[in-house]
Amino acid sequence: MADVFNRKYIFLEKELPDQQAVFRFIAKQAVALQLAKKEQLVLKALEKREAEMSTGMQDGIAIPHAISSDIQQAAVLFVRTTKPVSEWETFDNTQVKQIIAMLVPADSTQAHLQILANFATTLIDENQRQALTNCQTAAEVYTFLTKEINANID
Amino acid sequence: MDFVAITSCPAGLAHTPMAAKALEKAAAELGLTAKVEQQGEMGLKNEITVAEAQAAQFLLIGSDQKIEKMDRFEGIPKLRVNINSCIQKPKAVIDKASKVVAARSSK
Repeated sequence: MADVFNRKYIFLEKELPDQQAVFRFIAKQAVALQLAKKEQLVLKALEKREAEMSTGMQDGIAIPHAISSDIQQAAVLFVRTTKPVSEWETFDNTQVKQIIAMLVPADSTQAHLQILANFATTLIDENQRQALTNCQTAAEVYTFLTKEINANID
Repeated sequence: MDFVAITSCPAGLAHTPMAAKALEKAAAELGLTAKVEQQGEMGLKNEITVAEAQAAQFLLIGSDQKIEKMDRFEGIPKLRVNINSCIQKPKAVIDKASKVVAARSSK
C-alpha cells in the first residue's frame, strides 16, 4: 500500500485548464517522483487509454490511467484543480476537478492491480465521492483514501 | 441464480472492477442473486462456471470488448450494455435487462 500511494503523490490547488495540461502534469510528476523514466511515454500511455473511452466519471472525478513498460512502479497520484478542467467528458456532464491517476507498469503484480482496483471501486459510492470532495488538506485526502482502500481489500 | 454478468473495459483496470462492484451491490439491494465476472488486466476474476451460467436467467455483458469463453452461456439470453451505465445506474440496468428478457421469453 505505502509504495502505491503516499502523501507526496497528492497535489492540491493546481492550475490546469484542460485535459492535456493535466496529463502533462501527471507525466512530469511521474518522472520527478521516479515512478517512470520518460515523460513523453507516460503522456502517450495516458492519451492512448483516454482515446478508447473517456475516464471522466461522476461528480467531477476522473480516473485516467497509463499502462506502460516505461513505468517503474505502480502508483496512484491525486490531483485537484482550482478550476474545472475543460475537454473532459464525464457520465453526468459535471466538470472534472479531481483526478485519481493510475500509473501501471506493464508487468504489474496481481497485488498491485488489486490495490488500484480498490481505489476505483471506492468511487462508485456517492457518499464516498462526497467525502473525498470534502477533504480539504493533503493529510485528509491521504487518510480518507488509504482507509477506504484498506477497508475494500477482499 | 437470477442473473450472471461480465464486465470488461479497454484497460481492464478501473472500470471493470467498478462496474462489477456496482452491479453486485445493486443486485443485492434489489434482492437478486447474481454473480459478476471481471475480464480485465488480472485475467478472469470471479469466473462463472458452466453450471452457474446455465442456471442463470440471463447474461448481462457490461462491455464493448470481446468477451472470452462465451461458450459457457450457450442457450441463455444475453444482453450487452455500456460499461459506464453499469457504474452510473446499475439498478436501472438490471431492471431493464430483466424486463427485456421477460418480454423476449413471453413471445
